[in-house]
Amino acid sequence: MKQIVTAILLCTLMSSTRLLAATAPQQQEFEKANALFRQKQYTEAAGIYQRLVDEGFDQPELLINTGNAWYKANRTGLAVYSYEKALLADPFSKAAQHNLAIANQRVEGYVNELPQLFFQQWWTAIKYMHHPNGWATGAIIFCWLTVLGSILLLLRPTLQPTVVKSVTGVFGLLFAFYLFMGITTYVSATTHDNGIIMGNVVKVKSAPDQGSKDLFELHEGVKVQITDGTSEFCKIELPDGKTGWMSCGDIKKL
Amino acid sequence: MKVITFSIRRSLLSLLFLLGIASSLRAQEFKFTTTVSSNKVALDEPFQIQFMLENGTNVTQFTPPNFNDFELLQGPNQMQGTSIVNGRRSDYIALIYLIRAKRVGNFTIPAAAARVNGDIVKSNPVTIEVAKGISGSAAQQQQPQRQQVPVNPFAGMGQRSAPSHQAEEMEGVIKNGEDINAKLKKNIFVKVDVDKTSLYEGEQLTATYKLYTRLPTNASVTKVPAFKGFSAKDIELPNPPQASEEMVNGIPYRVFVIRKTMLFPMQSGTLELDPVEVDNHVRLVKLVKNGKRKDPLADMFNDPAFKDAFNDPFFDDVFNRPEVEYQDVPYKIQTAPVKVTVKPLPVDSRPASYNGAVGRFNMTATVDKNSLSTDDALTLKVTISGQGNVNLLNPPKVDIPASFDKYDPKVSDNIEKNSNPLTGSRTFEYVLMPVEAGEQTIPPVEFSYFDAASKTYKTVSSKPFTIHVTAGKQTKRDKEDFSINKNAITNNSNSVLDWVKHNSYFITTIWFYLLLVLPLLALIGAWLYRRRLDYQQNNAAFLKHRYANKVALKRLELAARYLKEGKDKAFYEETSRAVWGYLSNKLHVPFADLSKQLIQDKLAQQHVSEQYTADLFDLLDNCEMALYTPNHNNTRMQGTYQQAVQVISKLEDELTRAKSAV
Repeated sequence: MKQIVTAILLCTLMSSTRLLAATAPQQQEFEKANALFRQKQYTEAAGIYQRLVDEGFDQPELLINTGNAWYKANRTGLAVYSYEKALLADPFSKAAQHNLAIANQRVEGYVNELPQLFFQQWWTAIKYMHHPNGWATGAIIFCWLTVLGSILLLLRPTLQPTVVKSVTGVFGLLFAFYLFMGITTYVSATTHDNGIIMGNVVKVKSAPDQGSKDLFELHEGVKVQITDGTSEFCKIELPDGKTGWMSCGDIKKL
Repeated sequence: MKVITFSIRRSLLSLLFLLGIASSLRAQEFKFTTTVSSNKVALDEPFQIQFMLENGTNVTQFTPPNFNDFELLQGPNQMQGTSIVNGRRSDYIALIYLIRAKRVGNFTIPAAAARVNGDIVKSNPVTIEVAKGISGSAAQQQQPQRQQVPVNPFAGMGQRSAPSHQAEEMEGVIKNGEDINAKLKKNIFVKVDVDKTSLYEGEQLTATYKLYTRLPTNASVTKVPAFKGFSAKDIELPNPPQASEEMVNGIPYRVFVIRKTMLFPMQSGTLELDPVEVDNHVRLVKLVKNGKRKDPLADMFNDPAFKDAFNDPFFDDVFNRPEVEYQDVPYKIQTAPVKVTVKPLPVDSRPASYNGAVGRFNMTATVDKNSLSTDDALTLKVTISGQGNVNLLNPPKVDIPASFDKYDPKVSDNIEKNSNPLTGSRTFEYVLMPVEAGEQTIPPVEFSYFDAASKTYKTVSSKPFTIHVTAGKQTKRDKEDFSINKNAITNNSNSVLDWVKHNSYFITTIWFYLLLVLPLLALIGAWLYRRRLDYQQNNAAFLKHRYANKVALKRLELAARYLKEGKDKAFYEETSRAVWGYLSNKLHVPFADLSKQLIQDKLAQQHVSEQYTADLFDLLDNCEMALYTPNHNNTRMQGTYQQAVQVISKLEDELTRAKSAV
């Protein structure tokens, strides 16, 4: 059932965009950057990729290419950032996972993140079954179907009421689930509580002011979780549990 | 032992002389040498034998060898002194004997022994060839003894000093009006000999730099050739340098080899051997105009006062020959540059395993064990021996299978000293660590060289080696995976992408909520519609009854107020009036015409059940009775009121139904 719905949703989305893509100016830019990459002009290629990313495109392929170009241009922080972004867009992208692992080898003081537990993986898999918009669209469709069933029940009570009732019930549950997922994915997509360190060597302080004690140092490319923050200082937490404050300017939020 | 103590003056002079001839002394190195003035002597020719102890400390005893076949003419004369040359200081003790051969033949003068620092040391034995009469020896014999001053070992490079000698006494004499430069040019020159001028790249070339002289000279090499484009290997020269005689244009010269080098061209083309530059200090004897003696050294040995002394012309000059002048003439000479044509090695027939060897070689390859465990290491030893550029050999290519860890080979040379052409061997030791157990095969080692004589490439190869490897205790190391996927980023994706921005969220748009609300509105609409339908179908009667009840309550409104106030007479009156009023209204009968009979008929006509009619009359009777038998009973009043409401409601219902039925 879900698959059929997904398929229908995707088909409608794709068919409208496929035709546009071939001639899109972005595709030309993308191909130009690919050519530059092949000529080993990594910084130039990365610049074009990054411009596309900054325009708001988040295709995993684009993000992986961006990361590759930054990696080759020796900008580890930006490479890690791009790969992490690619993983946000598609957490099961093998290429992004692999390249991120390689880029992280260059990161000084990289702390391995714990792998996700099986239910966390399931949860991620479910979350990424659709794009947030897909979930919302699904919610609308199931809402309509539920209402349709309900109306049928109300107006034609004689028409196999048990079948209609159970189908409508299923639709109702699905509607509730899709609505919930839509809200959840929207919230998780719009909260930026992870970031990548961009400064070469960043001092992490014990309190949010410049004069406070230095706790430890972080190097470019380290992924941190932002747990709190003022306009200037962000409270960060590392996968190994260390916390501290640092200037928000040195973190690029995912 | 007879010890002659020299006068200070004489020692000093000797010392000065020695300083003059010895360009350098190796400081603080102990040496005990025997030198003779000439290894080839004529019978009856007296010659000197000198035993020299250099830097010997605490010399307590000296035993001269047995001069069996020689006649001791003089000696020993002892000399002792210190010389400082080039800042290096050396002490020496010299014992000099003048001897003469008794018979013709080859004789060996055995080593002399001395006790130095408590140890017995021995000098080198010397072989003397005694001839009956050498050609030209007659002339020589008339001359005083040829002076061959023992020289000290060579110092470092470039400061090689050829011994000062007198090639021919007469040549050292400048006659009046003779041009010194022309004389020098004629009598001293250096020459470079090469054994070939056209050769292959890597082939050996021997260059010999020789000094030809007929004058006593003190030569030092000031400029050594750099041999650009060659790999050079010097041949060690005999020490002290041995002079040989060579005839050039019929004139005998004494020839000293300054330098002998084996050269291996590193590049093809025309290469030039750099010249060698030699600085000479030629000692010339200048006769004063009224010189009494033509030959300054003619009667040197006849002078009894100095017979014991070091046979030094200097001595004679200073003390005996005031009429002879010595002149040290500096003279710089250099070799003519020599051009050598180097041919490149043929390319077309070059084997794959060739890597630069030229000459004639043989190769052996051995492994030190044929069976080992993976904990152990194996050594593959490849020895290349032969003639050629041994010192330039590159390691032969060995295809070690992947089941072995290979390390860079250890290279060791064993080159025969002073071999010409260069002969020796170079050994490459490859240490191999087996990684996998099982039967492993090391492919044959192949080595190719270019044979300059036959102008062909030759290849030698060994047998393949079969190695039995057993599993060792050490756990197998994880082979590091260097495949592309492991430590390189993946390739870029060049596919066509859907250029859709995903940063707008449907859930935040008004459409989402509109589309959500719309079906809910539809649902509400449907529900309302259904409710109306239900009302029409099932609840109409109930609603009508409720209406009737309402009518009754409205009619009994006043009665209810009287009930509350407790005015029983007014209450009953009003209840009765309300019922009559209701009936007159409903049955469309004027109030004045109302009677029980008429009402009964009318109700029957409208099919109102008998029971309702009975209830109605019962109520009316109750009211009349209460009106005329007044007793204040609130409970009864209440009951009557309820009864009235019920009756009116029921009648209303009945009448409406009857009406709709019609």
